[in-house]
Amino acid sequence: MRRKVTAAFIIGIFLLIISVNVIPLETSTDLFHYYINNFKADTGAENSVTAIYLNYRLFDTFFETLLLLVSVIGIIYFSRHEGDY
Amino acid sequence: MGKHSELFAQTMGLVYPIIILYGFYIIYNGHLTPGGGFQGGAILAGVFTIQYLTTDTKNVSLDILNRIEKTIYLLLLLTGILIVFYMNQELTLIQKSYYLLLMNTLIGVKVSCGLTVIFYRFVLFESR
Amino acid sequence: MLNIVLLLMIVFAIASIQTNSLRHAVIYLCVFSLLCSFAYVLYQAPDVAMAEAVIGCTLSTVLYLVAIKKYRVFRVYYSGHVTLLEKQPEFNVLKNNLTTMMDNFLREHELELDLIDTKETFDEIHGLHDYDVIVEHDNKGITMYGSQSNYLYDGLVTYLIEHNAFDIDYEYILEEEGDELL
Repeated sequence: MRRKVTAAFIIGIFLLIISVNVIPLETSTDLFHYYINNFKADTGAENSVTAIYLNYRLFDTFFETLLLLVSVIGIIYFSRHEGDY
Repeated sequence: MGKHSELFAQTMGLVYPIIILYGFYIIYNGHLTPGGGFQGGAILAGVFTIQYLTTDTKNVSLDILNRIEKTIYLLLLLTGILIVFYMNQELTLIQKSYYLLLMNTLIGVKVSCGLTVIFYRFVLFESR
Repeated sequence: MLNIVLLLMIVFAIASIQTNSLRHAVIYLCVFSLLCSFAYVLYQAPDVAMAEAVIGCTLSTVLYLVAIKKYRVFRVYYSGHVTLLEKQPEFNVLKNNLTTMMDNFLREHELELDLIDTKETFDEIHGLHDYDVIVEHDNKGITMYGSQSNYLYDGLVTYLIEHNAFDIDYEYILEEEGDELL
């Protein structure tokens, strides 16, 4: 019963997502144009991806790297110990 | 793991330094061309998997790698917060690009240490 | 170009699910990942393509292959408690036959037989140990138990029926609805 409810819930969310109209990137926000026009002067990077993940969205990068660190710690903690490492 | 193919070992011995150079190239040109710390670090971690496949060495100290990773994460937090949130207005463009280079290097070393620890942990310790 | 790559991705995804050998599935998954990174390049996202190519195509493939190489053991518990004296020689012959049959079948599927002799009864093994198949051999004959979710058990049973002269009872263990997993 619980499985069926969960499956119906997931399918409902999926239908909800695909029923929404996708907004094209060019008309989405002013932020897009701001990043495209100003990233070189703001951050000194040629590659806009680097400009965004190391300057505009720095907190994203912090928690993304923290995610990898936490997964490494989890693997070390939960895997079976045979000898020292 | 049994015997290793001689042909494979010789070929990989030739390709080995090229892959390391490619990884560092991707890290150091992260702010100019596509790529960056994560991708370059993953390529550097791929070198360790090739080392496992060819030579079957087990003398990688996972403890030290894990400590390096934790230390570098703290450094990453410190430099990022200090430079972006306190000094971003005063720096010139060249100094900013040096900051990007430093951050990319730190992220690359951290990611390669982390993926190596994951790989060796699964390969060497998860046995019956 | 993009449409061809996307179609090939679907083909390889279905192939990796439908194939019988685990190694083939891993290789199909690797090709799927490579095509995926190529599709990212065609969508003009080279950063993502690079990460996908390295992680999906190299690291995870090698990890899967090593894991398959490590976990290829098929564990069989052989619980024999024959008490009648006149059945004792027959017991040994039957056990040897069955073991060779199982060994042949598992070698076809790239697995290793791990045979464990016990005196424990079926209930004790079922409760305490981690098993793939339990064989119970007593005065009445041989009974085999296997879980319904074990995908090799059906193949083993049909193989034994096809190649076998002696009679064995086959039974399935019905798993409880695993609701606590959710």
